Amino acid sequence: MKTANLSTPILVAAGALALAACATVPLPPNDAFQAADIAISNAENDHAADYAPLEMRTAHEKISAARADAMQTDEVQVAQARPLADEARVEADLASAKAHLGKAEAVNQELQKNNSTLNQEIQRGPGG
Amino acid sequence: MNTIKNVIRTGLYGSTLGAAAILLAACAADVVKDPGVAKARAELTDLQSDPRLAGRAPIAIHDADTAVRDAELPQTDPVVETHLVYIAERRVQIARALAQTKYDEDQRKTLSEQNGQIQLNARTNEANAEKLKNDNLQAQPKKTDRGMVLTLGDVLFSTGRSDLKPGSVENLDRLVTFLGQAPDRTVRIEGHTDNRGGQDMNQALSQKRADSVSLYLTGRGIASNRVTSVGEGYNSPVADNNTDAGRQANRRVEVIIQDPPA
Repeated sequence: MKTANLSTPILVAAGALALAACATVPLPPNDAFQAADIAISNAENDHAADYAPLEMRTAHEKISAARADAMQTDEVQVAQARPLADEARVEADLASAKAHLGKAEAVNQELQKNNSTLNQEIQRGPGG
Repeated sequence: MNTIKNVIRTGLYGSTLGAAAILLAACAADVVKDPGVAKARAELTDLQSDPRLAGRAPIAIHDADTAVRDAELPQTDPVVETHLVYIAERRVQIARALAQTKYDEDQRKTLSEQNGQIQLNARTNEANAEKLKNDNLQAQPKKTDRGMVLTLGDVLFSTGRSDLKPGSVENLDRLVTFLGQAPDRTVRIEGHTDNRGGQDMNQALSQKRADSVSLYLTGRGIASNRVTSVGEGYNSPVADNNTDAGRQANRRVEVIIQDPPA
């Protein structure tokens, strides 16, 4: 088969490239760890555990797992540290966002409650 | 699925290529994307087309869009794709939560305005109720054997005081107008109280109140020889002094418009 013969060197070259890409040993992703730590600390300041307990737990678990992976000797595991840290960060950001939303909704509900209480008082009439 | 097909196909090229081929197959772009990508895109589009939210978290929505684009790119590694979808889904959720937060904060202005409007309505209602009460209290003269008697309720004075309350003189002004038009009439002004407190105190209070009304009339140009004022104390109740309503009825000033001497 002529086409097969032609494509063989291309395949070899591509395979070599892919191998080379996978062979790079990543450094510990300290920037990603730091970003996740900041996001988690911000979320804790927002009392996010009260509004998004699952997200907070996941963020803590993922940053711990990321740090553990970074200490491994196995390249594949070390390479997982950065995405795990990124996931921890986005999880903490989500927890913060949910905390902000929860607080905003609580304030608005209070305002709405005040308005309807006031309305009821008025409907009962003066002297009531 | 594709991975398996690729493995079978690449197997044809021989064992020397085996290792590289399998690696390639593992890294080969999956034609079938993680369904989470389409879901994240749909949720982002949903957010972007919501007029209440779209403009309220521009940075977060931009970040979400970037994350969804990254996830949409063809990936060689399904693990990477899963990771990018994970990030994209959450970036979209964050953008929605932040936009909703901003929306809620903006709503507060409306809610406070509503609160102000409710309070304004309340005051208007109170004012209307007060006006209605005053209209009801507006004295109508009654014909008696003593002449026409105009009974002014206890709205003229505060408890225990004998100076006229501001804004209570509408009935007196009507009387002034009437007396101006009928110069041959004279008036006798009687102060009456309820029976709480001693006789002397009530006598003095009723006299002072009658005097206040008399002073008001002469102050408005009615000749003083046409006006006499008498304190009756609690000697002439018109209602039961044992009830609040009765006592309120007894606290009054009566203006007797005397017929001209025949």
